[in-house]
Amino acid sequence: MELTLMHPHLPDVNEREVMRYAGVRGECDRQTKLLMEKAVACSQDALSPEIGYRRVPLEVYADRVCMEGLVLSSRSLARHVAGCREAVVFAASLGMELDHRIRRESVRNKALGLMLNALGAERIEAVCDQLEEALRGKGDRLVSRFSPGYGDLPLETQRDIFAFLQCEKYMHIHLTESLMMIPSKSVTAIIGILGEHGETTTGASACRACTLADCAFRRETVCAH
Amino acid sequence: MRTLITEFLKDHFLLLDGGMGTLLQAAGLKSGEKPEEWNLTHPEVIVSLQRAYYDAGSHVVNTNTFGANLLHYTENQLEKIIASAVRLARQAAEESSGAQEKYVALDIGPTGRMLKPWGDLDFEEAVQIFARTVQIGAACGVDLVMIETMNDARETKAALLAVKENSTLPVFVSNAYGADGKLMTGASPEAMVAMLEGMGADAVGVNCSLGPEALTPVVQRYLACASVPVLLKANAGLPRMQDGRTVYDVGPETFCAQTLSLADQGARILGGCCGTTPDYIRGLAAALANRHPLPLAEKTETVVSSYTHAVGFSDPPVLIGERINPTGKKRLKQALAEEDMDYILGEAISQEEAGAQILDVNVGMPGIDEAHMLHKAVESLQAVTNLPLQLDTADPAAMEQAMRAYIGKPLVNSVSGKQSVMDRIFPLVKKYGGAVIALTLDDSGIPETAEGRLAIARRILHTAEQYGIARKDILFDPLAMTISADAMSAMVTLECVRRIRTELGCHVSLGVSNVSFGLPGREGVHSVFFGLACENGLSAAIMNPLSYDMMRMYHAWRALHGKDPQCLSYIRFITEHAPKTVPAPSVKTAEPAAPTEGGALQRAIEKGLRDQAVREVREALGTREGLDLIQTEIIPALNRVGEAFEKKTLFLPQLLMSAEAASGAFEAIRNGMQRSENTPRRSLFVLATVHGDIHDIGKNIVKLLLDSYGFRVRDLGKDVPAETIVREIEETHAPMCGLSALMTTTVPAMEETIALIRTRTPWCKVVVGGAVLTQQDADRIGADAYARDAMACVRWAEDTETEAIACHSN
Repeated sequence: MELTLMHPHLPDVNEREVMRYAGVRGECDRQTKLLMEKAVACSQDALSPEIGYRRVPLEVYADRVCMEGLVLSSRSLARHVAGCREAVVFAASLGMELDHRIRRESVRNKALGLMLNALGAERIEAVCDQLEEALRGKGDRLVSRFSPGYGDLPLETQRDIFAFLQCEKYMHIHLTESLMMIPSKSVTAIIGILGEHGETTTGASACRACTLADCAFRRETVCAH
Repeated sequence: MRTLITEFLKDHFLLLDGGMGTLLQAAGLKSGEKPEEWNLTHPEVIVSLQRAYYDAGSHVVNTNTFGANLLHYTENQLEKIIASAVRLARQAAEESSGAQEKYVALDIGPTGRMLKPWGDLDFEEAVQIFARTVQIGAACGVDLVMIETMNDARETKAALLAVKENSTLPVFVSNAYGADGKLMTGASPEAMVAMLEGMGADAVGVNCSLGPEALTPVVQRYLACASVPVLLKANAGLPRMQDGRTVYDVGPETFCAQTLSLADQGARILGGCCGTTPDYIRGLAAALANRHPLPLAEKTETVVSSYTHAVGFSDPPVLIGERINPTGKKRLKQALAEEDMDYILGEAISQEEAGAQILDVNVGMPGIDEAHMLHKAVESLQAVTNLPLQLDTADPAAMEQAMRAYIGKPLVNSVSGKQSVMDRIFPLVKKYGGAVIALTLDDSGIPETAEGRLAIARRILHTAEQYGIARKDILFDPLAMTISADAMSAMVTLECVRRIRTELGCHVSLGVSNVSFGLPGREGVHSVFFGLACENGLSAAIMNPLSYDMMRMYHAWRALHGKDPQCLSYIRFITEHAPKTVPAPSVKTAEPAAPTEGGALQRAIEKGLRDQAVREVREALGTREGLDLIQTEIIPALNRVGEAFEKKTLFLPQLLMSAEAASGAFEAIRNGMQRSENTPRRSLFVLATVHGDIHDIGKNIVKLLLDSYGFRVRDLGKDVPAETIVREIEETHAPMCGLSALMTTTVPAMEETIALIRTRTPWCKVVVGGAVLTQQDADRIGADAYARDAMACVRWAEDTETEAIACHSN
């Protein structure tokens, strides 16, 4: 199956999530709230979300998964998508302009730069959620997305996923030599699609799979759909 | 003998080829397989596809070398691939039955990597990569070079520069625009045309991404501003999936009709991109046989451009911000000496927000490596501002480096009537593109009369013409000099302005504030002079856009000339900027009194209110010493915020807002201090994101906090090689260094940097931090400390400084 491109509409900003990415716990004061509003206003015309994905048959082994020539060696990923017969491999991004805004605003107001960055993190996750929604809307049952760097899936896998999706040709996403994505607010991941049986999962389980135990952003509670 | 393609173009349409990738896939090219390898493995397929295009009527067929560069092939492979590509295209031309003129173009596509500052590919490295492809192609005897599908202005410049430096071939440059009418990295059609024509492209245009109808607005904008022929090579519409295959929506008939409509509007070089086939080209050939191209019209508007935007001089006066110039500016001198780019970028953004349309950049001062600094300033500025820059240096080497690094068409400041200066600067303008400020002085000085200055201007124009530089690209500065020394000097200058505009038809720029030098109330004088100069036809002014008097004059002059309907801009300016006669009711009351210790300054810092903190400092400086404010107000307030952050009762955004407020307060104290008095400054701290890592938000946060605590931070930026970091520590003898890495892939670079610090600068203590790092990592790679967040880094720096002082005093 070839690459499908989407330009999703974004839902309203989830302010609690933005605060979480900005490192705020609990209630925030008025200044912080104003800062977030400023970040939202500043990002207004700076986002051009895009998604490119391929839906492919999936074979799961103990230590690797295979998807039409894309072979990823990872026990955690294999465990995560156990029971799935198909997968969606995707890349998503918010576009270059947001990076430019973050850089520009950070020159004189690093607090605003930080908040814009947090907003970008929330927005790109929302873009990924849109893809999952679209798939669920077609009746697919999903396990949550799994990205390079989670568990024992090495970051080097980015190169394979980029080649598999031809991101640099069909989308505005690039990979540097040291495996960073440009624009910085970009995500690549694999979504397992279950057959009629098996337990669906959502975002929080990604935290469960991750080995970075003392991450400041780790979701404490794990909810199942 | 073929007619030279540039000659042929003068009175003919030029028909290009159509899509290659889609046809190769149909012939069996697999996803992931490199198309250029087929030159060696399937030569007969390549020849037959290219012959089909010549048979259909193409004058030009591209070699199958889109991705043929040193990033994808070894030197050896590259030579073979390009040589066979050229040979196959020639063979196709010879075998074709078509009777038209036939040319072979060396095709050059993007590298596939992102250039700095977005990505990690260095500009000069990109030039080298393209250069090799051009050298091989030129040696194989192509007729022209086709740079195509470029979606970044910087990469486009690298490719064009490589062609110009390694061949004398004609070169066409085509960019890929999104539906928003911009390149991926933001450049507009006008900006691209200004840059590419300035560098000597023989044709410019648009290909790929969309169908001809969707590209129509972009092509029309090209036609409106380009003097060279315009090229269009659209896709057969948008790709779409059908039965697992990519199909294109626009069939040959519709494609031809839409493309021809643009030919009728002036597009002269036509073809197809993805999804088009020989059928599409045959349709175009048949229709073009009965048409004549519209004549080319030389565009006369003077234009400069930035990475993304073009600025024309048809709506005077253009405001050129003068504040990035260290003459008489102590704070900027300090920033330049310390390579504090944030300060310089802040000056740029304030001027942009105040209404500047171009920014002058001058970094010359004693003891500075001007070539290095100007280059660095240009790169940093272009990453944050969309305004074109005026490169201002008397050092030709610095000018060349800056022009090479500059993306767009700069204003070059300056040449004069001195032959030696013109002989050094005009060749640079010819090579890199630019509009030039020409001072009406020569080896015998500045003539006293307008007639004398015009004579020099004429001579400059004559010399520029000999160098092939268009009249529209010369702006004269007839030199404003102070009326305190010569009562008639302003009148002579105004006469020059008027006569250069009317007699020579050239634009005029002035550094208007010189006119009041040595007088009290200077702004009153030079703002009126600014108005008078505008009235005499001034095209641009080098001025301070933060000056209320100057901006009021600007808005008033425009309103009086009917350029400001309903005077809206003028009214908005006055409403926002008029000095208040009564101090505004104290903003302090807006904030409920907080249950904190200390005075209003402390409260402002704890609340993170930068403007208020600055106001409090200004008021307090009347009665208190700067040092006293720092020790009894700023530091205690910051410490309370820091402690609350450590106790997790307050979080990172609040900490940063407070740090911004404290930095603002420090800055205000520094500005308010007498020259003799010096702010006590803490130890030097070298800070960098390690090589390969391009994410710097965490590092920037650390910088801000260290700044706000009074440390002198040398911020080396991101993606910094170990050698650069160690050299900085060697030169400054910094006792402390902080390294940041965001990803596991860049931790090895951090380890290498620490190893180099240990051998070459063993006195320097190293703290590390970053998203993926842990204490264990820090121990493993040999760091002195691990900072889990920015506050921890400040605490470490304080302790390390105290220890160092204790050691010294023992």
